Amino acid sequence: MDCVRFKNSILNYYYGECDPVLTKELQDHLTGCEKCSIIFAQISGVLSSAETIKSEEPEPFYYTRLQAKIGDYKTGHIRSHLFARLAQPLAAACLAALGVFIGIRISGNLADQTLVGNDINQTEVAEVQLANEYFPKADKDDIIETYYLNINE
Amino acid sequence: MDDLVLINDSIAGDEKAFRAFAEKYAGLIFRVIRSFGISREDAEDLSQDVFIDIYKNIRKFRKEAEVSTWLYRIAINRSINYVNKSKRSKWMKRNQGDLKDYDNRVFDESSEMKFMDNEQKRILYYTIDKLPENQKIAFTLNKIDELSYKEIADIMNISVSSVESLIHRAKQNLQKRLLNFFE
Repeated sequence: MDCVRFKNSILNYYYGECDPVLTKELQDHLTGCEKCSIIFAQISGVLSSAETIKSEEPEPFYYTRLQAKIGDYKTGHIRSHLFARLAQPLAAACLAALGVFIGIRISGNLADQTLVGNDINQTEVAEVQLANEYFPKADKDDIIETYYLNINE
Repeated sequence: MDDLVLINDSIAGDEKAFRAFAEKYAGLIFRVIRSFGISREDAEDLSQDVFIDIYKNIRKFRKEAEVSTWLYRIAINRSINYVNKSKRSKWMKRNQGDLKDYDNRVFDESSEMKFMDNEQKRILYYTIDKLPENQKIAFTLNKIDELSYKEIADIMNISVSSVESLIHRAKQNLQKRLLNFFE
């Protein structure tokens, strides 16, 4: 067996997934080739470093902290639930109040405009009354007649 | 106690049943998360988040499914999301930081062993992390968590032959990268 073939089977060899004949050839190559045996030692060291994880357990007080987190979740959940239940009617009430306020403001403006109109009308009436007081209450024909009479005299 | 009994009691609001359920599966979930190269502290936080997910969604559990399959799926999704979200530079920086700390020590035999183990783990997770996602999950579940092809097929919702193919390709890719690293 050459080094290239050994390297192509190195992971299968490490995991014991080669057939018995190939396994024997790989073992023989390993004992005779220093370069490949160094590489195999390095790679098997890396792959076997995962072994320690298989026996790991969480730290003590894991469940106490988990319970605390679940407690936080429940409190948050209740708060958000309460918020959702209260916030929606509150928002609706605020919107309704805002609508009423805007309505009042708009109708107030309209009323002001009507008052201004009324003021104008009242002013016009007052001016006409004043004019009537100072000018003679004659119709057009009287005025023309008086004018021509004055000329002829 | 049977898993389904614990789940049903938990749904009914029995806190003790949920704690018993968590105690039964905490180690498994913790190790699955660790097998994706996540630090102990983060793995503990993530595994607790997994239990909170379970607590929230326990009513949605389909009782015809295997409990462990369900748990593996949640734990794998959490781990993959975590690894993807962590920026690679940050992740690498953290690992390099660990190595620096070790370099500053005067090594006795045991700390040197620790350093070697840490360095080897770093290389392992670095090379596994370079694999495509499906290959990474299949390889990790098979070679680190020691699950059978059938169990992996159920968890990943693919056929057994697809799992075989994924693991075969993962081994080839990993072999190539490890050889490049050491040659």
